[in-house]
Amino acid sequence: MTPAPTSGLVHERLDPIFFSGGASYLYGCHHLPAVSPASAIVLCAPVGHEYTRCHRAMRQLAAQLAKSGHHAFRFDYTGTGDSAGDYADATLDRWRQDIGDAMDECKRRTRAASVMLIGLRVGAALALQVAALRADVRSLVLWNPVLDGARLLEEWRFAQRAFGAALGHSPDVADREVLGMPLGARLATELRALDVSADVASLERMLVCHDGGERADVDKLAARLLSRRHNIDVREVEQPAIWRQEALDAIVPFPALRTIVEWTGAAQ
Amino acid sequence: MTSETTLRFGAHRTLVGILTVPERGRADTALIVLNAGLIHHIGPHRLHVTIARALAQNGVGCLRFDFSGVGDSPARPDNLPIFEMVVREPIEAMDELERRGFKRFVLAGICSGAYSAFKVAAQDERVMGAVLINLQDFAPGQGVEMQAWERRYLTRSIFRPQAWLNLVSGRVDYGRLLRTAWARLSGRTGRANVELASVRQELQQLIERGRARLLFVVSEDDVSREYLALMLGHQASGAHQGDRVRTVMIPRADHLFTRLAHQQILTEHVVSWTKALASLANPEATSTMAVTDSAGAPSPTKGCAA
Repeated sequence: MTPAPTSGLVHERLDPIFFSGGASYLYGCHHLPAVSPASAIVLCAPVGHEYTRCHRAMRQLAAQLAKSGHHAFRFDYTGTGDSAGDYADATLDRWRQDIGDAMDECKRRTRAASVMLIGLRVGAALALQVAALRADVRSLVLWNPVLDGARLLEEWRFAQRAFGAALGHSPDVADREVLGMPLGARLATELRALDVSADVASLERMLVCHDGGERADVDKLAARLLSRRHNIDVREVEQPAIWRQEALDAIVPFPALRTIVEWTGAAQ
Repeated sequence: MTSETTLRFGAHRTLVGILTVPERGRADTALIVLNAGLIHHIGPHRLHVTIARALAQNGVGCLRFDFSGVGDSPARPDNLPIFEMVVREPIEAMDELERRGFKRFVLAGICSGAYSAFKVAAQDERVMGAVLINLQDFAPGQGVEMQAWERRYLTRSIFRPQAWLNLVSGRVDYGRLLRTAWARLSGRTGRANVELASVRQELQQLIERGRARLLFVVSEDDVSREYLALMLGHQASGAHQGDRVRTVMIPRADHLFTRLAHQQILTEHVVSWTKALASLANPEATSTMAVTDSAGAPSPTKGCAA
């Protein structure tokens, strides 16, 4: 494989598209590789207010992956970003189907037989669940995965109450909206019952890149997968918790991106 | 029903955007929504998507796109300075939409997007209106910003118990508070007055030329309210604005409209004002709409005039 350029201005090649067709169309952005041959990677974004806060980091990750010789395919779940639908109607089940549709679209565009999934926060949990359901996920990166949905809901509600308190608002909406996004009853129920215990036997390799904030959950997941003889790397990388920072800050955690890009290169 | 298409356009075909149009019929007016800072083209809390789809359902097209180096658009290869880029790229967006059959344009933006919209409206005669939402970025960190914050601290914050609570609980920007106090104590008002005079002159020329109508939207809990008062000066009261400048304040809203109720009010104002403007320009295209007043402004059922 031709080594990727490491400096200088590299012209990006990307293709923004709508796919899946019909009323439930999804938005995707295909970052084409700078060198060939290339593998196919689908990126699974966080959800809720975390989606916008992490968008720049996910977009930069896709650009770095393309620069390193991968097809990187970002997409928006139903009811998020530019995809069809309302966020208030969102469900985890629908989003898992969306990941499958994005994988199929990515495979169609790249003629790859299998893909790597990279997920951030809830996107990581969904990627793990999809990897357990499909045989065409070759490898998996869980980036600061949400492994305890009930705790996530508590964090979101605490953040909403803190926001309201700073502006002197009453806390009356903390169960129905979180920092600018609605929180539907079904989504809240599904998040509370989030289950990441499924087996992922078909995976060749797996990376957990995390900031140490939820080390106990990560250790528990790693121990379970190692006991089943899965090939799993766990890397604790110092990085800002971008999902807790204002969207206007748009920080890109380059140490985490570097770790993931290097690992994906070695995984080919 | 609406229809959405991805676009790539601009001098280098690197700008990425989404065009939303009515599924039936032909829209000849388009709203172009500009980035709020580094937030990509869907807007804060997906507001640009909500507005685009609501507008298309009312017969008006909408383009949301990313400036170069923001969101999905790659960086420009020509090193254009940012203050030129945020004026040139909306013009490139209008060029692209003209090729696609649109004839009239309204620009909209929150925060720095409002700055771009204002600057483009002042330069390009194709702009028939601009929605300037929480405008405050003329010269961040400079004199006008300090004046706006001083005005906010002295006329509002000192009377709000919550502001005092925030002060003692660490929920304020102490650096900004100290910079503002220092600017006041050191008498650094000369530069601010020069900046302000320039902004007012630009606004006045835009109004007097009679081309574009302006809708200013401010959040009550945002310092843009003070910016607007400084910018409009004696015209800040509605009685002096005539029918070309309209101001709306959304009670208790913050800078990026975090509460869903505030998002809904903002969307209603933007959609009804833009729809009314499109109707004034081409009554047949949006004949089903209800024009709420001669200024083409939305009925202030939930917001209130500033």
